[in-house]
Amino acid sequence: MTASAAPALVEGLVPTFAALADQTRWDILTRLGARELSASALAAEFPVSRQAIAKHLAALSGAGLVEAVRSGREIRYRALGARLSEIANQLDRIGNEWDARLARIRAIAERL
Amino acid sequence: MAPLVVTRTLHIAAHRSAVWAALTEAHLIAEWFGDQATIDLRVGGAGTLTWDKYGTSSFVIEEVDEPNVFAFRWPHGMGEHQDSDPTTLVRFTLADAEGGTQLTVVETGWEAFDDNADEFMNDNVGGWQSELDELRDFLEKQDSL
Repeated sequence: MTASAAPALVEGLVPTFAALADQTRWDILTRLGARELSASALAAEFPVSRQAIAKHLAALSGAGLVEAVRSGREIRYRALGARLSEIANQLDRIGNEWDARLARIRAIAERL
Repeated sequence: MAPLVVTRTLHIAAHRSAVWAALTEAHLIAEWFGDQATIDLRVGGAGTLTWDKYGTSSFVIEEVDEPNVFAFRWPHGMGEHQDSDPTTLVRFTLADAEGGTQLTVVETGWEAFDDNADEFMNDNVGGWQSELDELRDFLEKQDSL
């Protein structure tokens, strides 16, 4: 099962890597990983045109990295998959550090 | 916007007073957080955490409610910090649980780092990575026993 799943996974990652090869797209994805934003809100945060943002969002969307969600009258974008969000990864790692520290605290308290 | 929060919890087979001691006594802190520690256990009191390999970090105590809540703020990274440097809040809560204590830690305030958040978190992770790897190896060995 693992063997048959692996090639599909690799294949699926090629467009993902391509979409992430651009630094601005990576930055946009990271930002969307923190919260949903509209294209205009993104355009306000990056030193690129609204049109460029739209192209980047289309590329990210095509790679399955973001999706559009309607919020009232606005269309916002959100990152798909917490693992693809750099911030989520960082928070995970920080959480893992706490797991390790809590385990040490447990060992100390149970010894006292 | 979804708040950036790190939450972890675990059960400890010890009385709350023992967990409280592990969290707040300098010589015990030094066993789980850094290699040496100092603490002035009162709201507004300061503490230091020193890693022999990396240097010293500091924290300021926000809450002391023995044996329920202990919280501090710390700027990330080593060395001297200005009062205006952004900090995260680390808040421990202790609750009685069957056979011992449930200890929860919540770290919040990443938003304060704003545009530098990514960079800062990378720094933080980098500084801890080798220690973390050692700990993980240790813990995995414990788990497999």
